[in-house]
Amino acid sequence: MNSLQNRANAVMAFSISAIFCLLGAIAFSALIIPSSPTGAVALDSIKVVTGRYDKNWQDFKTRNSEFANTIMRIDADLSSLFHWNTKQLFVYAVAEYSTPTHPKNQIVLWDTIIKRKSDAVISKRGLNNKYSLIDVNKKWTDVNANVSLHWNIVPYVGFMTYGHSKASEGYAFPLPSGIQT
Amino acid sequence: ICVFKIPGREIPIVHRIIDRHDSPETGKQQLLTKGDNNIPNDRGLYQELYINKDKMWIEPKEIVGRVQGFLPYLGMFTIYMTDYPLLKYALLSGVGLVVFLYE
Repeated sequence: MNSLQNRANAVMAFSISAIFCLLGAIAFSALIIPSSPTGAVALDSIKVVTGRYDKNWQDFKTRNSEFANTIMRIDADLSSLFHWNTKQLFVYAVAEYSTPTHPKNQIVLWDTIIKRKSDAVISKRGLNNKYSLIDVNKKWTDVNANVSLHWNIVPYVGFMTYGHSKASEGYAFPLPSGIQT
Repeated sequence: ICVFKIPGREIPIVHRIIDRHDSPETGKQQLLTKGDNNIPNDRGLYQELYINKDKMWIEPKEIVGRVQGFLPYLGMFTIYMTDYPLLKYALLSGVGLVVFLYE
């Protein structure tokens, strides 16, 4: 009864069950940790330029696509989101607006990865948007966009959770300034 | 973060959606994705096959699933089995030996 094979089997079965219970405890306990993150994005200026090329734009067929260049400021305190199960935080600023053909549009302007609690307080000024801000219809006439900060907690084990700040008030997009890219 | 398959490619890709444009009248939704560690977005991947030469967006019907959580290293067993077939044969023959000798 107490041969090597039986003992090895019992040890393996117990340790695997214990490991899965521990992982389950980590995953579910991370859901109920209270946190109080704050964040806000504001646009200091928007300029619309027309042209064929922009930061990471791939469709060069249209000669006057309208691209918006924004200067943003971001203030956030996300340090309360770092607990024992946080591997990293993926933080991104989203602009949301609606046009007559597409009632809901969301575009990510800027993102960053935060790996340590000491880096979790963000206070940035004069940021340019990292990715091209261009609409599906390639025109920015009569559009009002609001910006908000979203975050995604990437865990070591367990569930991916998301959160976001309140949307800012709307910013109107100006007419193209005549600068060509 | 969603899992999607581009038509013509058999391996699904797990990337984050960064742009979204909805138009309820035509029922279409256009999405753009990007890997977190990549600098460019995924349009290079969408357009890699000649049949998808001008593909700028993906649609919800190409999305196969959504990431809900993480269980690290759970797939390493399958990866070791496929990368080192000797391990697979050793394990199978070990199981066969146990069945024959201990029953």
